[in-house]
Amino acid sequence: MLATLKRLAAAVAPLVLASAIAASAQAAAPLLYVTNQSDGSVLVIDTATDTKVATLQVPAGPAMITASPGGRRLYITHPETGQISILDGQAIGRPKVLNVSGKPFGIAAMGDGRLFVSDWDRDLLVVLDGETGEKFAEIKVGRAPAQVAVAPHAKRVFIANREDNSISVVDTDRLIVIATVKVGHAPFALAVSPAGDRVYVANVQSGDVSVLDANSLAHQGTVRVGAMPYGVAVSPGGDRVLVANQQSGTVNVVDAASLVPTYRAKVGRYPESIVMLPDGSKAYVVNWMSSDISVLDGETGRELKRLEAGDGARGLVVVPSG
Amino acid sequence: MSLFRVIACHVVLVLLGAASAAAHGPTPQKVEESIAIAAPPDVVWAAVKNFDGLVAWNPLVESSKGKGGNVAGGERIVALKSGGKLTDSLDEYLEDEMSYSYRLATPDIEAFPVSFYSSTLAVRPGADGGSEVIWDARLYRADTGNFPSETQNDQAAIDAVAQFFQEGLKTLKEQVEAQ
Repeated sequence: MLATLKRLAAAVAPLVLASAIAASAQAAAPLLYVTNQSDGSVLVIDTATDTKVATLQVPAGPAMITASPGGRRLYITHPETGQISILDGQAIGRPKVLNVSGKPFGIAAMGDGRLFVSDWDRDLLVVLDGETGEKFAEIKVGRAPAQVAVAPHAKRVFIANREDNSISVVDTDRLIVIATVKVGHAPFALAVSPAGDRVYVANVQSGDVSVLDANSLAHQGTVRVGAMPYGVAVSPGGDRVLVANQQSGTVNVVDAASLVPTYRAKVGRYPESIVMLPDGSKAYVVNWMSSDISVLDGETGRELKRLEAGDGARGLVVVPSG
Repeated sequence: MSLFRVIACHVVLVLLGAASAAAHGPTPQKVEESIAIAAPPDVVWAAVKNFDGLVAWNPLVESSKGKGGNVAGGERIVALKSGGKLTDSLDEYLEDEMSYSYRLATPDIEAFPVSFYSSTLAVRPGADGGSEVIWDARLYRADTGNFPSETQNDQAAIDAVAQFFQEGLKTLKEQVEAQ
């Protein structure tokens, strides 16, 4: 019975999604995509109503997810099978799979179609064509590279090296490491401000966020947050930074000018990845242990709603519609 | 590239990569245990609040020597009766909320098949003036490569932590309810 339902859901999902995309294109509301690592699925949520519109079946163990800058494609890492799956807006229910070997984890996409993917086991940043999978470079970075973020205008990619307490900075033209900067203990998540001027690095074991100038790479400060920060997001104007603390079950709102936390929201259990909507009105954080998603007011950080997710909710991305 | 070449390449690279074993690559696993205890939360909390007091209520533990006290950064070295030692490090201690969170700072995968866990123990008000103790963990198996053996896979890790929590909670309940 369950199997039948699942098959049915898999078959129906693309159609549901197509209509959801059409509906939200009218409303111009972005869609939120959430990976459920243990379920092998991706949830699709309409951010206008904060309701689930589809569940897509993907290959086993989806971890991190990102979108092409135009939002036409989604890219998902599958560390345990050494794969990246690609969901194309035209055929979103039929993921294409790239075999990249190693343990792909963090992922970022550039406007020119290139993907930058960390390989947790081989300590590499792999650069490849997001369509064909053709490999352009394998760049040695620090140990256990986790999340990856691009600063397109500065032509830089930042990689958090969890076991090296550093970030690597890679030039996207020359495809070489141009700097390695020491941060706090066990950096995992990082985010570049939308203006591209700052990098925020969440250090899991020191329970703080290192703030760096994205150009000079100078340290601008360290913000004490909750225990085990695993997710960080910056508001569109760059004035607020949201940090999800896994051990504390909280999200801190940090004022970017003073680097002082101004609010602490209680969310679900073991929160991880966090994103903000492009207009800054709301933020979404996945709560891994409680298998749900906290919807937060993007200004105050206050929790507005809790949405059900699948097992092992891990990564998320917001894709603007239209 | 032919499918065969893709697969052949994949196998070679996987074999080369098998030696490296940093945690966190594979899918994290969940263990969630809880128990209802017929005693007020403050009484239950008093029994579990000392981070290095684990030996008093977990029958699988030989000793749990601590240093640094009940504050973030405090540690305990848990010697298992079955052999092996785990070092746990406190990340957050919330007296007001009757909760603490810690992580495995030094694993011993031969004795306890887990490469890393983060864990929270909390005492909450339960039914009829009693308590509920919730003990959960997010963990990674002992062999973090993509082809673990049966003794070092996800299930082995889940089983070890679940048993450790269950035995502790069962004994805690017996002790507190006998007071």
